[in-house]
Amino acid sequence: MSLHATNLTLGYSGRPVVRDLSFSFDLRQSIAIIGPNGCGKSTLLRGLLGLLPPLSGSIELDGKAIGKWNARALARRIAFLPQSPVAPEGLTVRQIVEHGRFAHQSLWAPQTKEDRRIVGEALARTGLSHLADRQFSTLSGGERQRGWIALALAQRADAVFFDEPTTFLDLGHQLDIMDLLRRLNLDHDIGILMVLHDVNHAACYADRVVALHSGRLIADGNGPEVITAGLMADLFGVRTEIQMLEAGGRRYPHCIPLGPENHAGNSAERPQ
Amino acid sequence: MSARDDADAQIGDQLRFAVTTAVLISCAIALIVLSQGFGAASASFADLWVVLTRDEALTPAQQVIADIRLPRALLGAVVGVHFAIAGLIMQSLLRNPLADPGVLGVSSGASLAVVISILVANTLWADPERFELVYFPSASIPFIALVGGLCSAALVLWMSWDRGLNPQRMALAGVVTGTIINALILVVIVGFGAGRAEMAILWLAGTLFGRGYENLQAMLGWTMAALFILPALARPLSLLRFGEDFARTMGLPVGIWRVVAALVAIGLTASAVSAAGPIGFVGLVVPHIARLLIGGNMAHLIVVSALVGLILTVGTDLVGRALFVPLEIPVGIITSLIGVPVFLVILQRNLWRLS
Repeated sequence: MSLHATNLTLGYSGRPVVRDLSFSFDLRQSIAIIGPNGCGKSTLLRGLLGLLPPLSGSIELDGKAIGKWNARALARRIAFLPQSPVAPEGLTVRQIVEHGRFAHQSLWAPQTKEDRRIVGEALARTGLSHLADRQFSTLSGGERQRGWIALALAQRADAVFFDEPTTFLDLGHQLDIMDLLRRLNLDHDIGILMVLHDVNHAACYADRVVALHSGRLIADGNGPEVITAGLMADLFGVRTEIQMLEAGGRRYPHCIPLGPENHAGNSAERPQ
Repeated sequence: MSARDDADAQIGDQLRFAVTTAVLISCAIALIVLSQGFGAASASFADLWVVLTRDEALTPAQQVIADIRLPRALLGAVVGVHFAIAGLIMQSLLRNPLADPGVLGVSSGASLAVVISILVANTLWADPERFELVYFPSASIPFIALVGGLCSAALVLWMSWDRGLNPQRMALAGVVTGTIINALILVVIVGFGAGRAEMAILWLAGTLFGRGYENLQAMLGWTMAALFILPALARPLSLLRFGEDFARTMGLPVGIWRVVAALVAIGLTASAVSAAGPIGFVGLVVPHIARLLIGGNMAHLIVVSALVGLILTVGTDLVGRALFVPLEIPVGIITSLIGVPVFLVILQRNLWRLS
């Protein structure tokens, strides 16, 4: 399953936010999009989900323009977890997760046994089985995020797109969520495309890292290729030291910020 | 938790819904029966039994039940169901717990049409010497209200259009349209009413007084259509609560379902307003009460909201008739009297939960 962009320009009311991107994503992989605030990461994600029609260029999923997919068929291929989803009042965790089955249900038909089985499985995979019948609003931040991931899993899509899945979580829960996504990718063959704030999460957990700056794609490759001191300076305007770490037979770069590139008080322009 | 406990908890949820529904249905039936005994003329429950079961000459008391109180209670029931479900739809569609069918502009448009017709008819045909009101044939009022309500709803829909139905625009368009039309209603009454405003004001308060089977019949078609669509609307409506992007990526064609939801709400409200006038607060308060009773499951909410709406409307009409016999207070005034404090409590709870 592949997502193919050609000379893609996306934006709002005619003003481009990302310009002239061409790339091809293998949606079985785990892919991270990084970049500074306002670089167009989330806009790109919305475009790739067919939520924002391109101003020019094209996005194709398996050879068919993303805008031509009907919502139901697309939802069976790609699920999405927005940055800060809001749960309707008064629903249990299970009831929230059941909404993920919509794309597989017919309108007048009640929930099937198969639906219930898949919802149970999604809850088990995210470690929420014991909380299934608790009110969603009583969960902690980390548990809630797992609940949303369970909803995406219940959708049984081939790939899941995430918009900053670890914002508002503490360090422990951030790693917990990133580990969960990694396992889903490796053990259950679910493709992951995630917009990430933390470059170290991208370096550690993604097969491929794509860097956006001012709406343009400025780096694309695996972690060690992309996460370099030079690129961090370009992207964020910070001086960094990159260390290579190793875990589970994988070598990945780790980026330690040292301070702003221009010393405090100096607001000279960043290198473009 | 074991699979068994899982199953138990799920059954618990179903059980709570089943018990709540059973209790509400019993209350509803009890209220409708009770409402037959109250009013200016006294009648016993034995009289109701005769009306329902036997086909024989009726006593005057039985005649009152058959011709006035029974159709009135049944109409109140259906009107309550309509307003409650329309309110639930609007709160889910606009993702705003303070939304109600008033946002559709239906009530205000219907009111304006009716007020203008009443006053124009009085001006044209009333005999100024005898200072007597020309009462509209009551059969024509629902029709006029329906046309007025649908016209203003169409105006609100048109103003809410932005490459599809935009809920934020709809909330604004609804409030603005409602305010302007309500101002126009006052202009019409104050400017042209001159002693003939009573009937218009009575209608504006929302009342079940003087309604008969023909009003009930006119509504039932809308009720049937809604009953057919609602089972299919439950899941899309539930998804709409998650917001546009999220709902779309879960597989919902958001644009189409927003329009379907709005049309169902418009149909339910327009038909209810045309029969009983703009009864306030039922659509706003009932979905909150239903959520308190059985939680947020949309299919359950639809059923329980319908029943609570029915009970609230029939119950308040009963209170309005029973308080100062033989005078009666229009149902819309009582629902507002009850609705405002209930609403404030709900608001307080929400604020408390947020902080």
